[in-house]
Amino acid sequence: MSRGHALNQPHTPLPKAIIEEAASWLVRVEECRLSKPEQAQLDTWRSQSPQHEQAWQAALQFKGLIGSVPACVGNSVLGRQYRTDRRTVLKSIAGLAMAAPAGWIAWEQWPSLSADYRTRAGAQRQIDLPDGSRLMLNTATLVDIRFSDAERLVRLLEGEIDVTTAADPFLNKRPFIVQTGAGRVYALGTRFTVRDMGDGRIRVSVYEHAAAIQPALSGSETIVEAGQASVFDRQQATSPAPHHYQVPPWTRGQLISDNQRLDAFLAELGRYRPGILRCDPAVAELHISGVFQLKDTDQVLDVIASTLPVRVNRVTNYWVTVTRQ
Amino acid sequence: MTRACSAEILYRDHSTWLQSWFRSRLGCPHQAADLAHDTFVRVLVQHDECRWQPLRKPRAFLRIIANGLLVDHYRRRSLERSYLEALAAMPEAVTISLEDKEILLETLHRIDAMLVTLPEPVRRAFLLSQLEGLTYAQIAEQMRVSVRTIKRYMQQGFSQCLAAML
Repeated sequence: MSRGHALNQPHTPLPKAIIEEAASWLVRVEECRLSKPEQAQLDTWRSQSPQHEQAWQAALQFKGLIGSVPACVGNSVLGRQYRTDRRTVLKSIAGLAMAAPAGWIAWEQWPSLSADYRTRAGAQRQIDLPDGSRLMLNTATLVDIRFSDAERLVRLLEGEIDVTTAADPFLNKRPFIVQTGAGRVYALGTRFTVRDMGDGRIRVSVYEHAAAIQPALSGSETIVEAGQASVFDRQQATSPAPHHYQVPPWTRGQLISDNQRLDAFLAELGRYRPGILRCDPAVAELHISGVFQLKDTDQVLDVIASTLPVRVNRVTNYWVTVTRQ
Repeated sequence: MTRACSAEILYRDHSTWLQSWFRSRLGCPHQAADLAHDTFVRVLVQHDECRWQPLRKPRAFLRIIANGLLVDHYRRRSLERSYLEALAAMPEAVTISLEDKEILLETLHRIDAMLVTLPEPVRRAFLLSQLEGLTYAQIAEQMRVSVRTIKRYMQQGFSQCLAAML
């Protein structure tokens, strides 16, 4: 299943034993509430290595995913009797066109607990949160939103978000937190973006006021002020450096490059397209500058072909290679 | 360039054949074309550029991948049908936006793919727990097996799903 990783990324599978252990912790957690010592054991297990924590994060993500499925729909769909008989399948295709949606239960009562939101490659989406805050999802993004009495939590599972926070209407002024695979980002003001780079690193860019980064395995916080950006992993955050933008360019549908290597530029452009966009190593070191419109990435490729000594080979629309002319 | 070319030669030489292979099974030329493209994309993704080697029996190789995609395709169709039936069977209430419907459908596809290889009783216990929120004891009673067996089932279900999440 394609989940937005437009370009292949190195992926080391976790040892099976760790996955089994995470699963058995989940079984224990679900069987009954953990006692204090058991909870401490779980915390110790999680902190044994980044891989342990990664497995546990996957467990939480899975719970978020399945928790977003209404029971009545899930039961009849996931519990269906599946037959490979081709005639049944063909009949089912005919049936597809006829069935019409009727209604829904409780789906939109959501401010109470949690919800998942997602965008496909090339799409963007704005979500208005119940406290007046606003989230903008960039391409190929998955978030899980959990507001409770104690905190306003947005979990970034994949992709990139632009967060504009509002003052919390609750008396206790719940903190607004973006949880990522590498740690947490606390809103100290109004506007910032958080991007999962897909390699364990997270980039935070602040546009108004400030945000605080708390890497998962670090005791110290890094404050990023308006006009600055920082990249962090589970251990540490880089010192904030200027980013030169008034607003995140992608929220205006723009991709801006300033003397950028072609391979890096295409990797960036590839995030906004379904399928595969490859750069021949022979042209990787060419440089490119400009402001490009994200709404038509094919046109961007045409522009590149007309300004650089390269050729755009469209084997299919989902498989494009940029090579030497 | 030469390596990328060998992938492209594979496409050029076999895409027509592969499309007609799909068409004879699906009946629909558009779906056949889509699946043929998906097959090549998968070949490309699985075979890192640096390790690309010419295939000795390209069609046999393509057929294995194509077959897997076809099974997935049937499975997705059956899921979509169940989904629309489930939506149609719901009582009138708040309507769900088209976009949320789409998202839910994708979530269902994703979970379905995780559960696909689980044995039937494991899958059943897993869904009773995760969707219905039944306790292990309640599931054990309903399925007439021991709580220990249910825990084993749950362990198996979670392991499989976590591996797929990572």
